[in-house]
Amino acid sequence: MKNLFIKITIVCFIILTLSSGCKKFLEQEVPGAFPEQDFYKTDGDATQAVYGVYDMMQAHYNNNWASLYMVKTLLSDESNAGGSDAGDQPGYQTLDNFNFDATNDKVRDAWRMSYFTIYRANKVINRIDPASALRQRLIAEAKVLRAYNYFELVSLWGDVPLVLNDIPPASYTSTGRAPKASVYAQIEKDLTEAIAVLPLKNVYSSADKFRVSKGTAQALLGKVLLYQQKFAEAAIQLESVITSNQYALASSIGAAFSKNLEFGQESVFEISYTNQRAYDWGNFPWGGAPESNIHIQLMGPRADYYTKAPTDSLIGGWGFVLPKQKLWDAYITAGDVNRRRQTVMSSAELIAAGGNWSNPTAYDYEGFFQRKYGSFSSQTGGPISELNYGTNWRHIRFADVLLMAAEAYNKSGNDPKSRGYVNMVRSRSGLAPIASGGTALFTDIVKERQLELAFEGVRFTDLVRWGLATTELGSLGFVAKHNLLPVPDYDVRTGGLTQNSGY
Amino acid sequence: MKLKTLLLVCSCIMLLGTSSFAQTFKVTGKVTSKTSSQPLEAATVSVKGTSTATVTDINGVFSINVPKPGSVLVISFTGMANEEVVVNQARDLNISLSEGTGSLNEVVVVGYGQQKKALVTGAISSVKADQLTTVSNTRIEQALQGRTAGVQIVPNSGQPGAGLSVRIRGTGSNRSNNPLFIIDGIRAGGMESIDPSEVESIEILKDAASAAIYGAEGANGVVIITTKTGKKGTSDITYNAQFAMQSVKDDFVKMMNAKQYQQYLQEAGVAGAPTMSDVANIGEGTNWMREVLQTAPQQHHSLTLSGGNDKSTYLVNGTIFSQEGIVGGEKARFNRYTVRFNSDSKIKPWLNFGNRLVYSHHRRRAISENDEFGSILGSALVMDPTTPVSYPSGSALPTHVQNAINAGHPLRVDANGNLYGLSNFLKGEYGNPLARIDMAKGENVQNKIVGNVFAEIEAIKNLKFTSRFGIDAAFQVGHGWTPTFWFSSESQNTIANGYDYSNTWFTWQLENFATYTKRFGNHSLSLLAGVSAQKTHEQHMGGSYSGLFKEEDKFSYADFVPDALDRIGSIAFDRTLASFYGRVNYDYKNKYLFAATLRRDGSSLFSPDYQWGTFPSVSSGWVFSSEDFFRSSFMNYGKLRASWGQNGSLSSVGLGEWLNSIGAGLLYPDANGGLMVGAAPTSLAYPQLTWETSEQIDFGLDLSFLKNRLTVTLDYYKKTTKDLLTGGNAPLFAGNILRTVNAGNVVNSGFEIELGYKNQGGSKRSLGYELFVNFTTLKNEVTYLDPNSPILYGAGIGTGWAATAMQVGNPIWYFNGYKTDGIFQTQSEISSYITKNGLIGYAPQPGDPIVLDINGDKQISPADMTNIGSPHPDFMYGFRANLSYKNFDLTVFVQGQYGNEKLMGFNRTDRSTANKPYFFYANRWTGAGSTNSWFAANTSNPYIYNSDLMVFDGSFTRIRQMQLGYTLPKSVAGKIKFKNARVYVSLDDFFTFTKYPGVDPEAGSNGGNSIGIDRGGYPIPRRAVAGLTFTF
Repeated sequence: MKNLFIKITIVCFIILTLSSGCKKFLEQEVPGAFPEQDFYKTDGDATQAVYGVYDMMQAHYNNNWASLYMVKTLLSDESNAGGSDAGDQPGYQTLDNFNFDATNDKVRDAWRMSYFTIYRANKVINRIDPASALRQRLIAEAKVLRAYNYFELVSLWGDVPLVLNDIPPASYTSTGRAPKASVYAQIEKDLTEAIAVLPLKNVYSSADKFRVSKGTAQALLGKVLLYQQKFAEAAIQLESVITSNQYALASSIGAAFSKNLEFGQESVFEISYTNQRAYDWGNFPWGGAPESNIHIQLMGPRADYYTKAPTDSLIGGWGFVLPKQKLWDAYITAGDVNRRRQTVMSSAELIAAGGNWSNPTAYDYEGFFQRKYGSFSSQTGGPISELNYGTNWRHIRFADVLLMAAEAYNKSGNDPKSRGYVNMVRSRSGLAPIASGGTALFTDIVKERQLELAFEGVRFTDLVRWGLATTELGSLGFVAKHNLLPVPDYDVRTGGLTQNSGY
Repeated sequence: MKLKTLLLVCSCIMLLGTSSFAQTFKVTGKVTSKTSSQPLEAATVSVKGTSTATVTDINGVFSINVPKPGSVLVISFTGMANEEVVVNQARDLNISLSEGTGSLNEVVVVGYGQQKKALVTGAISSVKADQLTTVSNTRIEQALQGRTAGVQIVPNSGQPGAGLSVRIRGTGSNRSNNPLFIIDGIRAGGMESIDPSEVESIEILKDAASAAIYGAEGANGVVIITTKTGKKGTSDITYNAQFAMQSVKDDFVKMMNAKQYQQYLQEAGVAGAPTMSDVANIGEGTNWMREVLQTAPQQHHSLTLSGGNDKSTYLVNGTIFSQEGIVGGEKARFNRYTVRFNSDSKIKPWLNFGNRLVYSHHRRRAISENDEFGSILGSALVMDPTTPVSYPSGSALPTHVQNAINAGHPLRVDANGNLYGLSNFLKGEYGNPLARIDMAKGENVQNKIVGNVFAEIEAIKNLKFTSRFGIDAAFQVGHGWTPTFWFSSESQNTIANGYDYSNTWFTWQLENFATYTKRFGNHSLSLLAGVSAQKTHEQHMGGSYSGLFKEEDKFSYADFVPDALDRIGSIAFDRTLASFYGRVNYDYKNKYLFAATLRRDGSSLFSPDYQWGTFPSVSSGWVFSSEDFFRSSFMNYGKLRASWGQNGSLSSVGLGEWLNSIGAGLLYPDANGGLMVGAAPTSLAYPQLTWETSEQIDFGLDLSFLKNRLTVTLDYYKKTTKDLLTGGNAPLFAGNILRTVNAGNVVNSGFEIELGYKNQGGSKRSLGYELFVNFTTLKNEVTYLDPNSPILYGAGIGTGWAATAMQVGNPIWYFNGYKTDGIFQTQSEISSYITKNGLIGYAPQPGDPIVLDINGDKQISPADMTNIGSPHPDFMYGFRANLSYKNFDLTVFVQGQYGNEKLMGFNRTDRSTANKPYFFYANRWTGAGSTNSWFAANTSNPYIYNSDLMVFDGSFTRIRQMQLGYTLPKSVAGKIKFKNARVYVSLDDFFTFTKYPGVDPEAGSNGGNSIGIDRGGYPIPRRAVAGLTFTF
């Protein structure tokens, strides 16, 4: 009997030992996780990794309630923040009123998304072996996207950390900010290398037209050189875009922003969204990265007070980015009718067309509605129009290239060529040619850029680089420190970065 | 050091104990149980005042040498009352012991065993079945509210079936603070399947030394639930029925009426607000809270069949619980059905075999609440009072409603075919709450099996081996759909959509442990060693679809919509935990007590080099009342305790949270609109990620007076939770998120007092009473955070306020906002304030609060937000009195807390036309000198709504239960063959005393980083209860 007990005990202890202690028992897979060291190997990996970079660009300018587009637009004199009231998105309100500080969440997220895009581009550039023509092209695309983000960073923050590879935790606080000049040098290097590899736009298949092309890289390089006041060199790059036979102005500015002409003739660089995801109120990825452009809904006239005109397709939204009287007046003064109608609408025009605006004292409202990136029913998809705008951000348009070239030529002493490009842009909108030269021509270019490129996120950095920001934005609260944005407080603390003066 | 001293004392006493006396004679005898007449094995027989002792054998027989005539034999057995016999000569005794009444004779369940309470060295509170039989709570955790010191139980909501947050000795983590629940020795995934009638006892292991045997899972304390089993020699059928009517005190949160609302908004200068003429003919308008509230029934039945003989016992229990909601009625219904089967069989003298098994089925419907973004409860609170509930058919419709009809919007219609009222003023995410309740269509159904089979083998005398295999398997499916509706451009659904989901959690657990118990003279030793393996498989699938063919339940499934509008998601994964554990309990003469535990756990949640952790504890006790020098007829028992230990917390850690890996599923539309799939690393790596560890010291004192009538337990505790899981803090330029790191410490400390006084009442005619009081103080402080991120922000309110934060020197998740100092009365006061403080860019109006420039930067900005209140109570208390007279009994049970603050978070600055509580109107500033404590009418100023003005005293006292019962006299009961029959009426959660002017001082207290924020939660219902229980 006692033997039996002992046997049972032994058996039990064997079971007990078998059931545990196995190392294997603790090895459980993490679903959806592919080890990073095994990726970036094949053409397929490379293709997906580059989609990943574009994907972050898409999120970057469409991040839920914190996009670089909004940051740049609200800093300008084009619009007020809007929304329901002063408590709606305080981060946007303070940018609009120039009372933001280094803790501003929108500034932080714009900075963050730039570096998050750079991180993905770095992985492509560093990890992919350029063993095939496809991979070489993909790496070149990543270089353009990296350069684009560094250009946003350097033009808004000045000296910034120049991160070209993974940073080990030990280097978090020793990375520091690189001088503007070396950031610009890196941007130029990336773009120059990419230009040598990238194809012209028409070489891409119709589906691939979303990719950055040689023209994109040249246009961006031209812009980068222009910002550094290397006018002659800028003119060369921009001229090669213009003469590449890849681009032309659309019939009107409205057409350039239409659904049909996305990635069309005027498009040099665009970020893609889709109206085909069929988001409804139940499945929209709030807080995530939707494939539709929710900013179009954000910028639509506030639906609580807005009744659209029967024949118009501009439908209600959430009322951010309300145009200022100043912008309206600029069009009126310039006698610029066609372009204005496709950029700004007044409440008088709305009412005249049979629509209505029920709250003249609405928050931040000066009597105008934005139509360039308008909440047009034609841009959105079902089942819920509010959630499915597919409108692409036009990051670089051919008209911008022409005006940048005009500026570069004007500053490098070739006014006839400069005037020619300005007048190309003007004639498209039915405006008389200008005949000015020298500084008068420069002033005309300033005006032309204001009116042609309103709500495209270039006004603020233009004013800063021209030294006109204090003059134009001073009444809004702009002071010298605002030439640069504050380095996000988060990175000042976690990365030991120095702060820009005044913050 | 302390230990060494104790050991030294122990050895000295042992030496003394060896001296002997002459004149000895032998006494033999047999010890039996009075109730079952069974022999009691291992009962202790000792000679009082000496070290002489022995234990009974398997037949209850003992033999002891008694030193001299007149000696007193003390016969004791765990769970039974001690018996004392004076012996003058050699004789044979027959001693039967009765079940213990004094709490010190109680047995408490500890991890992997049980212990006599008198010998416990840790801090353990227990709640027995008799306190739980007539509770009217849905969930067992809720029934624990206020019953023991150190345990705070906060309902997440008053909605039927809602969960609770259980915090033992404070909030120690910024993630999960829920303790580990063990049901009958097996780790439980959740407590929703347990019916209070199934429970025999609940033990709460509060200090680290008690919980350390659970190692990596015990950091937040452990709750051990033991279910009922059959008793030998009985054959009982017990039935309980309980009916309750739930309600809420009228106007428990009073909002402005139509006229006040109109006036307030007008004074605040709100655009789009109603005018005088809008409210001219509607009286007070609609009281939306009154409209949505209703009385709601609840019922609970349980039937238990139990019994057993020498060899085996059994218990079968079935329960039905059904509760409707006081808001939403059957749209917020919770129904639960459970069946339990427990058995124990002594198959061989050396083998016990048994099982614990419960199946539960519940169906839960819920309406949205506690969300300031347009939940149903949120809408009911702030809906504008000028809007009627509905428009009677035939009445003229307001223009905005007619316009909506003309625009073809899908407006909702009530059961009588009348259009639901549509607000022309409050838009945003809100909507007519009655229409929203009407539209709510969703139900969650769960089937769950929890149970284990076990064998106890006593292979060698004193060595008991236990093997236990358990499962916890929950299968949940849910279905719901949303019809089309239109309340405003921002709250609409133009296409009916539905969803389905299915979740499976399957955990198996194998526990094998051996216990060796041996008494050597005065030394008693118990050793435990064991291993455990546990594996959880989770599988989740969810889908959504839109475009229902008809808006009816029968068309609300994905099969009946076009495939192109389907969306599906699914995931499955496993988690494992392997553990080794051991414990030593030693005592000398039941006087000097010592225990130590060690557990080693390996978890698959971490990277291979960081999977294992070791969790030690030591504790000791000194029963000073057993010392010879201690003579007191007043105090009959006294014990000092001390313990130290470490525990981990795995519940806060996500699978693969340490890992940097490539995540797929990124999408980018190409130029033709085709969606291209991208891939990128999902996060930066943090392979050294580990669990949160709590380290706790505890000093305790257990005292009994007046023959155990008065019992006192005192504890001091200090619990330090280290390596808190906090969001990673890589600089943003590192390019990706660092998901989680270990960087933070929180200390909870305080005192606990439990007092009990029992007077059983000598005869039937006298008054019997029992009084219990418990009291806990609590201090919570964050003591460390990564210097790189000195402030962590938690929950947000509205569209941009980081309303809770964590910072060194402050309580965890304090309320973060502007500090104000009264109200500006005049413009000159404003000017002088601005001048005095050199403020720029600050332009308040008279009637606005005076905001303090906390950081001294001469600006008023979000950087001035600071600690404006703590959601943690300073102290908590419970009081229970049981009175009995003749056949009547009365229980009064009170619970409360003091010193915590509530943040009123349902007022949003971006929804100016939302209604506000009435006192906003009544107390408002109306001109210089009117008030310095409340602001002028205002709906959007962040310096008001994001400030300490929204922080209120959240202290409350709630009478949990007032119950009057009548037990049928035995003579009458016997005639109708009943062993026991009792009827009762009760008022549960009926009276609440609080100064909090919001919804409910308890409701809306979500866990995590949102503690104490009232976003418009579901109020806790009060219940009028009647019930009966009988056994035959």
